[in-house]
Amino acid sequence: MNNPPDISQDPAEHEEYAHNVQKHVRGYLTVGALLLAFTGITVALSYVDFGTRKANIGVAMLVATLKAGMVAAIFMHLAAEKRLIYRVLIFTGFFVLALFWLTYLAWYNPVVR
Amino acid sequence: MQKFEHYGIFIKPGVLEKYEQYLGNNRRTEKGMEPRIEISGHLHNPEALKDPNIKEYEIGLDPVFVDPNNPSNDRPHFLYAPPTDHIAKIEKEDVDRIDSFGPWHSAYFASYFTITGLHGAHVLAGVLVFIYMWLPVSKRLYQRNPEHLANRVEVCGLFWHFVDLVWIFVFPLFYLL
Repeated sequence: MNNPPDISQDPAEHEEYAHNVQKHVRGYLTVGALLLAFTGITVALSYVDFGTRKANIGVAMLVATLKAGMVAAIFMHLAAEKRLIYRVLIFTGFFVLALFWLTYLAWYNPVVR
Repeated sequence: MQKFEHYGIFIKPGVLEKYEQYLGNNRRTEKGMEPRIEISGHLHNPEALKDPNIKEYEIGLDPVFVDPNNPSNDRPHFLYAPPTDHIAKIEKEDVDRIDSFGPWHSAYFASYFTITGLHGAHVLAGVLVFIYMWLPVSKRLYQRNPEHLANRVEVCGLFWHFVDLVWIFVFPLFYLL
């Protein structure tokens, strides 16, 4: 049967590995702080009148997309993924948009009393 | 319980003009904004909901309806502002519908409660996953096959951050706009 693999590391390698972890943790903390800051910015922007309701929604969604991009790229490691992952993601994104489009059709057949 | 005496009163389309001082629709139409059709606040005579002999609702107005033409009220406010002591009398005859602010109130509140509730359920699921990862199983798995544990951590992280990602869009859409 499977023998447990030898997981002991030589000290030098461990040093380097630990150093990398430190760097990653710092990256995560930075992104976390940025996300908090942008949350504040979104709330502040909601008080600003950009002319129309649509414009306000557009601005808020723009900030949200930026934040979502950070979460996906850093927290979800998308920035360092293999090509296959991107292909699957595009495939999925296509179906998500298709579903959004279906609900959008309600504009042409509204429920009225 | 003041929270449960907060009501929205939908005015019949034909008589909106009568309540112009609370709605401020002349200015809104001029500016190309959609008209207000609902007056909300703290219902001072909740017995009017059931008693057909009471002909009008007395409602302590939410700040927006006290000063409807103030541009600062054109945008929704994130922070809670309690109802005022400014009481408006609204004839039952002019009322299309009166509702408290539960999921039954409108399509907005229905989506608001559904989405927030579902999101809460997913956060709870994430916390349960974290608790599981804390248990001794993880330590045993690490000793047996660290690669396997690393994969688990990775997948839990993906779930957790995807839920986070959804909230990034849900929060501004439902709470700010």
